[in-house]
Amino acid sequence: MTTERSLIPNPSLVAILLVIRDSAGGNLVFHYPPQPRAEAAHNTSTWRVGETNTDYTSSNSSFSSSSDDDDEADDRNSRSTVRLYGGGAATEKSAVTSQRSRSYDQRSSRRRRDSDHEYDEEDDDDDEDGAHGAEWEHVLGFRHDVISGLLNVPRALSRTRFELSVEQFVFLGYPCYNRPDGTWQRRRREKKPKPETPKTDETKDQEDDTADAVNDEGDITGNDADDEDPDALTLSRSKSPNPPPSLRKKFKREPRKPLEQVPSKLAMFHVVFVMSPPQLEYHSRMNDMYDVAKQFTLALKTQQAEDDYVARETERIIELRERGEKRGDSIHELWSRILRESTLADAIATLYQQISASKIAALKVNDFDFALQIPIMMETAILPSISEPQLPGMHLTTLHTLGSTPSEDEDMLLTPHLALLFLEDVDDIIKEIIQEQDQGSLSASFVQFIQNCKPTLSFAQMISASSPNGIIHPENPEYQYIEYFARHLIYWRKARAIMPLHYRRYYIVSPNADMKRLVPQSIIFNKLFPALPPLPKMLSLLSGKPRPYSAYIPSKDHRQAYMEMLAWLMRYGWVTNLLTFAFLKIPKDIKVAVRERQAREQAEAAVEMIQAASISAATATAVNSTSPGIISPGILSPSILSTSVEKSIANGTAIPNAKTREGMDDIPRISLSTGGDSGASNGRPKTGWSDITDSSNPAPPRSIGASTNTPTTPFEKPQLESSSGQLEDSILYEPSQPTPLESAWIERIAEGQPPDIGVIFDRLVKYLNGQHAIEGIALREAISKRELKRVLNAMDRYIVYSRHW
Amino acid sequence: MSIKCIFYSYFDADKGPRVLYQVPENSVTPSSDTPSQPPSLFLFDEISDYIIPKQQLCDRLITFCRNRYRLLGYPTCLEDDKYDRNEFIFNFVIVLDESEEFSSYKPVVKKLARLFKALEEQTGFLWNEVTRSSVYTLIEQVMEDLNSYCECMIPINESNTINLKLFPVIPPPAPIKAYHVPISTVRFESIMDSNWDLTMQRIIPYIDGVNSVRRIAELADADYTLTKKCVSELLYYGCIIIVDVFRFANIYAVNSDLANFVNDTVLHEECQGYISSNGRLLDFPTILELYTSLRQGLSVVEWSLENAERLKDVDVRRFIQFGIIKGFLYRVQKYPVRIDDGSGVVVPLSSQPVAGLGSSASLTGLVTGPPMLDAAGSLAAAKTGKSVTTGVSGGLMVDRSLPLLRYLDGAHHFDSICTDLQQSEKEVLKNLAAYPIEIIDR
Repeated sequence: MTTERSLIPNPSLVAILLVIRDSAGGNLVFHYPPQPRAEAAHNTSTWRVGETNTDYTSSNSSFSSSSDDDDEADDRNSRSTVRLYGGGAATEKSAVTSQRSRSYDQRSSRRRRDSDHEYDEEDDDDDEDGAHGAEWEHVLGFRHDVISGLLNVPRALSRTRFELSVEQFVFLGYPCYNRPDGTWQRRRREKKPKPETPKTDETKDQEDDTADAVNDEGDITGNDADDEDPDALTLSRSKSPNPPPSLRKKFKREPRKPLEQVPSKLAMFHVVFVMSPPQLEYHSRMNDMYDVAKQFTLALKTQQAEDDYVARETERIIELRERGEKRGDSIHELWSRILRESTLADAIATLYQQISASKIAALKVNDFDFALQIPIMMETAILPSISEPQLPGMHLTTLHTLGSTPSEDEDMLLTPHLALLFLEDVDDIIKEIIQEQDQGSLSASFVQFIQNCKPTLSFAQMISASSPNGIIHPENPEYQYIEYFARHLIYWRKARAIMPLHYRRYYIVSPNADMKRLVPQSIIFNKLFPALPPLPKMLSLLSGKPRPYSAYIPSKDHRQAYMEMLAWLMRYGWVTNLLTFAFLKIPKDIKVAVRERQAREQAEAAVEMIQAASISAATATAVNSTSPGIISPGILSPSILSTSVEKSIANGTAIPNAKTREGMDDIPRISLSTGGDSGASNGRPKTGWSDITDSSNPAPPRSIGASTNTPTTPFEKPQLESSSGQLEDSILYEPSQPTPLESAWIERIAEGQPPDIGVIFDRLVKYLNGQHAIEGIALREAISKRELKRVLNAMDRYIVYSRHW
Repeated sequence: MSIKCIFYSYFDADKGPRVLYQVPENSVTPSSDTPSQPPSLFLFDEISDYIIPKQQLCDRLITFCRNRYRLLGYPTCLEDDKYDRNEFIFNFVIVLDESEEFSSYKPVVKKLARLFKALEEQTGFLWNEVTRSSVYTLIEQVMEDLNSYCECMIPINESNTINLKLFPVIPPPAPIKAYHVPISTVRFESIMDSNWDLTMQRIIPYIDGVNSVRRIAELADADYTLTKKCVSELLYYGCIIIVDVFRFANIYAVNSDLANFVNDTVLHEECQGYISSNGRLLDFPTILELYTSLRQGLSVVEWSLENAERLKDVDVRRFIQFGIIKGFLYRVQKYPVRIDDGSGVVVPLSSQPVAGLGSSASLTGLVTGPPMLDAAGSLAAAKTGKSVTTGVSGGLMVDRSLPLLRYLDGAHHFDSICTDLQQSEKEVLKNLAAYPIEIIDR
């Protein structure tokens, strides 16, 4: 049971530490911020975030800061204490320190003798002598040498996820050791002519690779593909876009000339992210940060391999620290000098500042540009209920739109028909790109793309406007550029993909609109659209029964301005697109007709079957007994026959399954005593624990469906008529995977229609499960809107529509 | 959810960190019979630094991840002359799957450490080789009991017992508002006894799925703040769920969770039983059509009239409530917003006329309104947090429209305004007649 992913950003980052190990031993070289505080992790977001401590009753999660009359919050905060080591009064602290340091010395010298560990932590003591009393002697309440000893991990833990918690602090990292020969450079795979016949000098390398691979297996989130070539991943995240991956080869920068394989002085470096996540969100917060930590480390590792970058930088930082100590600089003087003079320190500082503010960190190490972020949710399908954490202002949509990276969730066929909605002023975005200009021609075409983008214009339309013969294949290179640019803008949180705005579509005031922003936004709105009705008026108009947007536009001349306003309203989450979803209803008369026909056919088939020697008697009876009246073997081929038997078996086993579920639910379902009619407990909604836990987990959109739909999904549903023989109207749950009987119903429905409608209806059936927006179907299936309308109208009797976002 | 392994390790003066007992065997160190075979979970020697740490890191909870396992330990350090080098460090470590929710184990690990520390201090339990030998059986028992029963009670000697229990971690409840309506999910009469909190005992009879929190406080003649705390507590333990006030003038519409409802046949039967007013059950497609015909801009009254025929066997209130409880229906709230006559922008609260603070302050002393109104006023003060003094409740008595103005910045819906001011929506609207307002449905 892992904690659910919260939609509310909360990096929980306290500090970033850089620990190295060289010939002189382990050392905490740099940390940022200079004086980290545990509370910093909780002040970063606008959401009220509780405090973690070991007291399990005062566990916490993120709730809206808008919970203004929430007196318990203060209780909880005051109850939780941050216990730092030696963090008491100053006098007490120094006393403890001196005492402890004595015993530490004893201990470490003993360790030296006793343990056969390959690394020698006693070297930590060296810089301690001179540094006594310096402000940076304690980090997070730990002594400098203690913390560097702790994070100076043994080689066995190299290149695996490092996760250590000491009370409320969690230390997360991806330690990197050099190769056993003392070098950092990974030899290019291409150099190996034939891996199965390795040359002698490469054997070692290979062994090392396999060792790495073994190590990496212990890595849970391990997307280790990027391990080989972090450039491929991170380069694409530089501020100006690069060409799409498929076209990138020619742009790929020349690898720098490999240096002589000189062993570096640096044996290990370890960038450690200190976190203090809320307990209930522990796993998701840690996993999010681990992705950042690992990517940052891998980028540094590449640079270290190229020209000993990390070693050089750490040397410089250590030198600055020593000088600063001698001069008696204050910690702030010293830190600002370090940030000025070391690009690595500067990168760490930037990373900390941006990540802890839930922003994107644009980094430059050793002239290598890349960006890191913890992705934030831009839209959600689920409207939080009143007892769930609120996400005011977040856009609501069930469409699987375009993400910053391609994912399986996306609807490949639909994406070309989406449009980009900019979340900032287009001119500002362009200005920023021009400032960053270092990609020449590419950035020109990027700017052009941004200028051509309209929230009313789908990507496909953008292309067909420039080349009139346009049916768009996802492989179309022009489209690939567009998609790539779009993803780039989405990654940088400059835009969001939406269903193109259209005056014939329906828009409602989003139930998730952030009403607290109404006052300031109404003023901005007035300035932007002085000629249009003011914001409250507009929202009030959009409040009534849903009407197409054109109903609010007074005349054709106003259309342009009203569409611009709509884009603005969408941008700030004031409105959302009301989409239509459809369920397939099977009326009783269809079922009766099918049953009659099947009975007839079955009787005929039974006769045939007795005659057919090829089919064994056993199968025949099995078919007859397990699926009475469902299949007519005369029509179906034997292979389908056998699957249908399996299905009915699955159906049979599914019933006790469902029973146990019910039984489990029964325990908390004691009763829902509402109003005066608490007597009849039968059939009350189950609102017990299961419900509460469900509602407290806002994250996965399909969670409820997933929990009921175990692998046997489509067959699990009991067929209404099979038990009693009584036929009723019913809704088909999963028309894309119908049982044979359901197929027969669908066929029967289509039969009554002209053939052309029947053909299109066949293509539509799979969408009629209430989860596909009708608005997207025409685009997806390349059916004209008129045709679609005609078919849906013809089938009106069999379709139940629902409208939401 | 289960413990994969518990082991006892200590710092041996000659051999360094060692694992003395582990359940099951060979989990973290290889067995002596087959030293070449690696332990089943991970290699203790690689990570012993984090199990038996430096003295400075002792006496605190330390967790470490290795090989997709999470180790929870509380290294303990004792100083005494009798030990080699005057100190003795030991750690009882619980190993879980890395992905497991582990917070409920943290107090357990801590308690285990404290207990053995006490035992060691009292009798040298761990140092003495004879008593020490029982450790294996003890941790074996702890692991078995915690995995099977989530608790254990194992007597060690006449004065010491291992008493452990895993408590589930529950997220904090949502903040309770005056207009929230609690619905019980348990039979209070069967679980409540005379030891319960007095306010709790008072308010529980009024939790009926209809009354709002404020109304409950009023009916039970209980303090509003205490009532709110009680309701919050009940919510935390899942004894209630929270919905909004049901009125026939309300507007509801389906949301994106609808497909989940349609896909859950168990829920259909539940729904059919719950919404029926006379025992006759509606077929599911009709129920679905009824739910989907609820939409923005259509009040329940209008909707009932439109569907009167199909609703004749249906308790409309329960019909709506079912959708809200199951989460596929949402309430469309109405927000009155005061706009500026000229520009049409929303009038911010700061520029709302405050009923001449000086005079209203003096009024407070003179006019003592009914206690509920007073509470409403101060609640309003707490809500807006701006330019509102205690004088407001006095002002409230003078001009009934004035406190209203504080709610008109768009951040307050009618439910919240009406419960706070104890006025009906109609009254509120009547009092607002003099001001230009827009109503936004969200």
